Amino acid sequence: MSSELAADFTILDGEIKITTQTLDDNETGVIGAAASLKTGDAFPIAVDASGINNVVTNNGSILASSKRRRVDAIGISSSGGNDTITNTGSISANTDI
Amino acid sequence: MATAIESDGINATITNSGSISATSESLGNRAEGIDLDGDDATIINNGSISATSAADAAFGIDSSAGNATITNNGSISAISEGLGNDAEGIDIDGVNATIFNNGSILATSAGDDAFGIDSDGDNATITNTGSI
Repeated sequence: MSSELAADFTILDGEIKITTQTLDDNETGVIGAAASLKTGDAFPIAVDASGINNVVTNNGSILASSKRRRVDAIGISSSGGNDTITNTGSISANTDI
Repeated sequence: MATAIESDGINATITNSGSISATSESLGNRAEGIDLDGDDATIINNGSISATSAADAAFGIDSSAGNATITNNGSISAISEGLGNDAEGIDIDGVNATIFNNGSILATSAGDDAFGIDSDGDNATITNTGSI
């Protein structure tokens, strides 16, 4: 499975991204109020914040879905520590096998 | 499993003023609004968190973290439609948890236990000024 290379990311209003957005240490991700991140079976994790001190701000829409057995759907996965996640939009995860 | 936010690292801060939802349609897949495993985390919910599972357990917030502080000023719901599966608004397994509920928490299970708040960790403090 591939995904976007780790770096700060911003999904601008009007944009729709369909691949996992990945954050390394001290990186920031922002989804605009009229932006969408929609990932499916190939990318069941929408935001993979594996670094420390990640900041994820969702003002728009995040949807992660999986129709594959034993594959979890995760909207935001945060694992590095000291992360800050702020949601003013919608974050949804669903599995339908 | 369907999980809207999964937090495994320490010292995480999660603030929700929008909507968070997790939906699972199949056996073997839990639905979790927020799955918290890292210690010393803070969750503030001013919006809505919902978890709905058609054939497995559903948790609005599922925390195994130590020293977690969870404040609900909005709504949390957990609905399990499967037989033999719990529905839990907030499930706490870690030690030293502090929970403030100023909003609403609803848990509904079609075929097993339903808990508004289920606290199994030692030294938990729960304050409710809302509805559970």
